[in-house]
Amino acid sequence: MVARSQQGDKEAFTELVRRYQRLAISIAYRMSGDAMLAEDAAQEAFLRAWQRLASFEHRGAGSFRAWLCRIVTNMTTDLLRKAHLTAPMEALSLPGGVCPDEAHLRQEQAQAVQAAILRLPEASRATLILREYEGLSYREISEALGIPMGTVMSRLNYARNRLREELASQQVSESAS
Amino acid sequence: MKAQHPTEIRLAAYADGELKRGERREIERHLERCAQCQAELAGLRALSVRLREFALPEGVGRDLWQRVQQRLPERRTEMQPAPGGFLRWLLPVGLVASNVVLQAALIVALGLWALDSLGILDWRTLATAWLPAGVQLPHLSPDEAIAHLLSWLVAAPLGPGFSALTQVWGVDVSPLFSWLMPGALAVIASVGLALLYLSWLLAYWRSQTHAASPDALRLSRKGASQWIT
Ligand SMILES: [Zn+2]
Repeated sequence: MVARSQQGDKEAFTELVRRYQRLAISIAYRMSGDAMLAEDAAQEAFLRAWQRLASFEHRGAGSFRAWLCRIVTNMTTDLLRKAHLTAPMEALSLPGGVCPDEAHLRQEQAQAVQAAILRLPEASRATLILREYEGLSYREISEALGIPMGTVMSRLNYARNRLREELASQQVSESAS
Repeated sequence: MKAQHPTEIRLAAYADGELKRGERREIERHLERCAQCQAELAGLRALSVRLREFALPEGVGRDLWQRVQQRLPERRTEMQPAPGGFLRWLLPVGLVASNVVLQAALIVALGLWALDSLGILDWRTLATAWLPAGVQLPHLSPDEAIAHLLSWLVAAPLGPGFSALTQVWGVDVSPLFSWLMPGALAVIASVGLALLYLSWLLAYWRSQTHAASPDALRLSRKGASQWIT
């Protein structure tokens, strides 16, 4: 499918987009916290991928996924910088049929997680997202972000420690209030 | 005896399933006896669970592929060679043309030389037939004429011009120089042209044969983006 797309087969590429659109959107959304921006970033990322497919070297299974992850994270970071967004909050959709208090609490908790992730520096945010939400291996992350394995591990460690601190202090302040 | 605690990074690698079998066993053995590391691991797992709360809103980007698909033709039309395509053809066509001229001159010179050495053709009669009346041909002995014709062979088509000029202007150049100079010029020119043409031909052939050619696409995209910007 990748090879056929590289030869300019639009149908094959569309199939690739269909297969990977959720991944792209998911990364872009977790990076930005903005659904609109995430859709734009994913769309632009696929178009950029289409343009650059010729220069992509297929190195076995999963390498296209890593390559695409790289384009998506770069594109999202670009758009974030362009929009000068400090990651605005967006109302999260909630499952219906939950009593208001519980729903409210759930929403607050989700927003706390989102806010904590968005406060991470871009580099460790991307590493954490690729690991926690997309399940990429350390090697794939290293390939996708163009950083050594050691850096993947230290960034991941940094991100997790910071998230644990922030989310813990959040709960303390919540229970205190 | 209690082994050292694994580092945070190592424990995380264990939780992420990034350790080899032996290392994994080692950590598991340690975990059985160390409450502190058990708590650390539980903390990591709890964080992963907690992070799930940052969910992707439903339906976001579900029709993304359609929007991407719609924009692909747009890129494709951009890929059509723009007016710049004419310039891209000018170079190879020019190269082929000049090469053909050079080769033709060489063949004609060779033919003349062969005819002359066989005594079938007298270069002097032939030249007067072609030149307008009143033009004085240099008086050359048959030996000199043959020498010139020989230099044509090597020097086509610059050689005769050069030799003729030195004669018309009465410039006195060393025989060696007058022999080598036109020949060298002609050889350099034809070899250079031939190389340029060959490299263009190779590049073209490669872009054609390489499976609908990412190279060709890249080339034309480059051309197109130059045209658009
Ligand atoms: Zn321990």
